[in-house]
Amino acid sequence: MLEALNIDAALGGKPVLQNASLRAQAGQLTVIVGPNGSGKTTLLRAITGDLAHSGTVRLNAQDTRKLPAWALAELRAVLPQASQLAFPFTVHEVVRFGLVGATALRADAAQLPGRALERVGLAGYGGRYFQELSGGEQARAQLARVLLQVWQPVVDGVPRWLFLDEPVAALDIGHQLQVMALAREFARAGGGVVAVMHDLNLTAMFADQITLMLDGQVLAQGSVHDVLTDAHLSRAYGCALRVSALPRAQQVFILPQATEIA
Amino acid sequence: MVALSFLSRGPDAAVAGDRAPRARATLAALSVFVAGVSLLSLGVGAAGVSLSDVAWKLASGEALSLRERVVIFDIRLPRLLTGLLVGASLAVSGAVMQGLFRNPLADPGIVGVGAGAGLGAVLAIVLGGMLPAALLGVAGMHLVPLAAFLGGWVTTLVLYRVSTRRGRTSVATMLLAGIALGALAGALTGILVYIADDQQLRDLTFWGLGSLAGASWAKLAAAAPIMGLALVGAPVLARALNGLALGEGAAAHMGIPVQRMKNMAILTVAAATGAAVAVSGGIGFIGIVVPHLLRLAIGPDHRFVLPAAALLGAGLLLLADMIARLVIAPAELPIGIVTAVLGGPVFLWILLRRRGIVDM
Repeated sequence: MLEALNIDAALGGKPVLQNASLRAQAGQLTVIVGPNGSGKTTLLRAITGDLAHSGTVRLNAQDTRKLPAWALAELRAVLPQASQLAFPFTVHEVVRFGLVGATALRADAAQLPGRALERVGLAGYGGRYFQELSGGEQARAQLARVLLQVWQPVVDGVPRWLFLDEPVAALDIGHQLQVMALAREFARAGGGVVAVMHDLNLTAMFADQITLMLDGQVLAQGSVHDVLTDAHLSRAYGCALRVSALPRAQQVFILPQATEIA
Repeated sequence: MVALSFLSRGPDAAVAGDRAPRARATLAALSVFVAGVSLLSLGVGAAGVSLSDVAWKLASGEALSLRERVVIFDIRLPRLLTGLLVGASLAVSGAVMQGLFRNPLADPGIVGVGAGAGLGAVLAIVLGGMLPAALLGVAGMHLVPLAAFLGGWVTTLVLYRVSTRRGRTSVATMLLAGIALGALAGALTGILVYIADDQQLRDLTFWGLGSLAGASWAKLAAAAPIMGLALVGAPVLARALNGLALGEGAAAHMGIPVQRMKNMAILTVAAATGAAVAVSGGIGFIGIVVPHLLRLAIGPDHRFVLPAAALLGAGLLLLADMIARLVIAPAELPIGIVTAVLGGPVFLWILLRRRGIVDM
């Protein structure tokens, strides 16, 4: 269980989060959506401790501010939005950085970076230089590193967490589906996943819970059907959006209504 | 076929992109290199005392002549140990600083830390006598290394504060601030040199040329603990510096106590540079050339770069010292000249290859 309660945060003196609260369950994929500047990435950064904030963040009932860095790293991994890397490390070396804590002591630890690369569809990329990969490949290599850090979604009955900041922003549609499936797989195995997303259709397809943000506050929180409504979305995004569903599958999709924009 | 398959694919078949095996082999080779250069360095010198004679005498229980004892044990041995420690310290502090600033051009000598340490040392030489006798008694001969360390520490701290904003270190700001700090330290050093008396001037000149010629057991005893501590502490930083390559946020999420590690890195650089500068003066280029060569050879993983830098730095400095001693024997070149002649072109080559970074 992740509880982020009454989070206030400011960037450059300007308040960007006001009393935002988010609850997420292990075993579920929770997605934060909202228009540009609504504070969704800021909320994630507050939750992961990247940003000074007031309010409480509890992960598995533990106050994250009271956990030492190593203990937090055992509990959760964070995929940053943009990846940066100094020095010419190989892809294998970058992924290997995810080998921390108890995972590093496993008998098969040496094989794990390769297996993490396989899972993100980068098998055979280990020997390339990270900087020579395309943006999308770099994003997936980082995901492999992050997956490696929380390789087992549940350890001794304790769920581990993945925090993903726009994990599919740089990816083509095939890899978007692959990465979202990985995130869902992690959740189905008992881990918790919280992702910031732009793509409402992917969100509708994969999310178990959705938090919709607007102007630094939580506008709606709940299941796909509760949150993704015409009214919510049109208000949040300031344009006409229609939520529809395919007749046979229960797949929800969102269609922008171009004619009503003018 | 099955029986032979172990020949092609053993349990530790190479993993693509894993340069750890190569790094370990390089570390072993470097250890042999340092041992070899050390022996060579003990056997070479203006006095014409040969190591094989001495070794033969020692092995057969024959007494050494006074001359042999003095040359080997009071001149060459402290010089050898000083060279090893100084070379290792310069190379490791270069590697640590480059890791901290996430930039291959960061070097204590270039960004003013060496100049700051130098100012500390000169302050101690010129004004140390004014200290209350009680304090002088306590500090004793540790005064100069200690002052150099403090000078290096303050400079590194100011440099890092000036060039880092919200956890991001600006390379351009770092280089410019380093130039400014170096110039400031140089000017203050100049003032001190101006007011120094004759004896102090001789000390300063000797020290400023950058040489191991002044090595003695006493100086070694004063500086070795500081350098030794820094070298022993450096490997603790390896994982943190690797993490920092991905940015401070990512490093923190990997479980690295980023702020504490940054402080420790700054202390390590200041201690190693300060003490090295205090015993041997300004020896350039080791700190930038050695880590760069190693990154080309074994990759940038600090778990291997830091120990390898210690070995290669130690070996290269000894080699440079031998060249400095032999080229115009029985006189000596300042070792700083040798490292600059060898290191300057390599540094230029780095700049040419990495122009993109310098232009940022």
